[in-house]
Amino acid sequence: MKGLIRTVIALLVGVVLGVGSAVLAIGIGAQAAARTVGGWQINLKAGSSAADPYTRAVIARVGLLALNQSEAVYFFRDRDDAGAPLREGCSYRLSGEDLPARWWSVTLYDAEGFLARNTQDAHSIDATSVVRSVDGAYEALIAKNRGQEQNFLAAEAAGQFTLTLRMYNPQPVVTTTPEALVLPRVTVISCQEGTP
Amino acid sequence: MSRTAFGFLAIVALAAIVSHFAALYAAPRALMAVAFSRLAPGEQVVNQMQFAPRVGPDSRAVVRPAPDMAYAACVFDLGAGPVVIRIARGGQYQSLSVYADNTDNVFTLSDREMGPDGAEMVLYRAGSPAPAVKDGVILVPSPSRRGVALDRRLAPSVAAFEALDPVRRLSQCGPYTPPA
Repeated sequence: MKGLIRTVIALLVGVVLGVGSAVLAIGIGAQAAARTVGGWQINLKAGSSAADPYTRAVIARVGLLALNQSEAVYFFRDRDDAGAPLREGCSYRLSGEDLPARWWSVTLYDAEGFLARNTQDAHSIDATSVVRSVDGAYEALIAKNRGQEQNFLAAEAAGQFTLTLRMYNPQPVVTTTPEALVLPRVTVISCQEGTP
Repeated sequence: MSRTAFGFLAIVALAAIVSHFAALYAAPRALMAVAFSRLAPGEQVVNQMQFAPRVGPDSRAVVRPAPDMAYAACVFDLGAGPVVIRIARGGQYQSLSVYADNTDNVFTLSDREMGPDGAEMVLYRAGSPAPAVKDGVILVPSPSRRGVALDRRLAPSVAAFEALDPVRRLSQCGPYTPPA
């Protein structure tokens, strides 16, 4: 009887260690596979046909149903340029210029990775609609309310949020030397204390 | 080390190794199974094109949906034979991607590779004989019996989505019948 109990305990300990180490490996793998460029994280493995179980599990976590890098490249960030978490209680200035791709967009997602539950229909800015200055650069407000801004991303009901930058049909420089890209900057305008 | 302790550690190590790789194997498939059930709720909509409404806060089938895209999806099951997908051409940007049940993106066709009327492709199980198809039809071997084909089209506004909707609804997915 004692032997049976010992075996069951050993199996349980082994399963906990095995599953735990797999979860840890997937998390570490996602971090290790990502590169940071101008405050944005890029994972060129998203959407690829994975070669090993670790890579495949990481891809499933970070880019389920993502396109491969010849078709689209995805950048993520959850912090502003000063390194503070992006949150609904602050307003931000997103500033950038056109990117070397057929089409690009910047989308705001809530902490769960979905569009924030608000009715402002301002979850994204994209290359077809963003209003640019004469030099081609653009600025967009990220805040709870639009105010008078033409380019706007609504953070209402987003809590701590993330931004995803998509480039469709990117030029080769995007995947070969992403460090050379000038990606949008995110600077704090102001914050309300006591808000998420 | 006593024989009992050695046996205990050996069982722990064996169980850890097996469960470690089992978890790695299962994780992507579990995520895809969830995606299948959300994209095609119920077996009756397998091998049929499902046209998602415009992406908004209630779009929660798959994380990080692009609000600028009009999506259509066909969750396919090749258990009863090959499946044909016909994609109507329309939209400033368009692509059709096929994903296996382990999340691998096994095929992508961009609008730059489509004809003016779109494209037709036949999915079949990799390793089985390729079905006979007419000229111009693309054969796509799938490493898994189940998977999903995802149609994306650029539609960054309500007006663009509404203009595109009738065209994308011409796309079809269904059981394949070889030419006579």
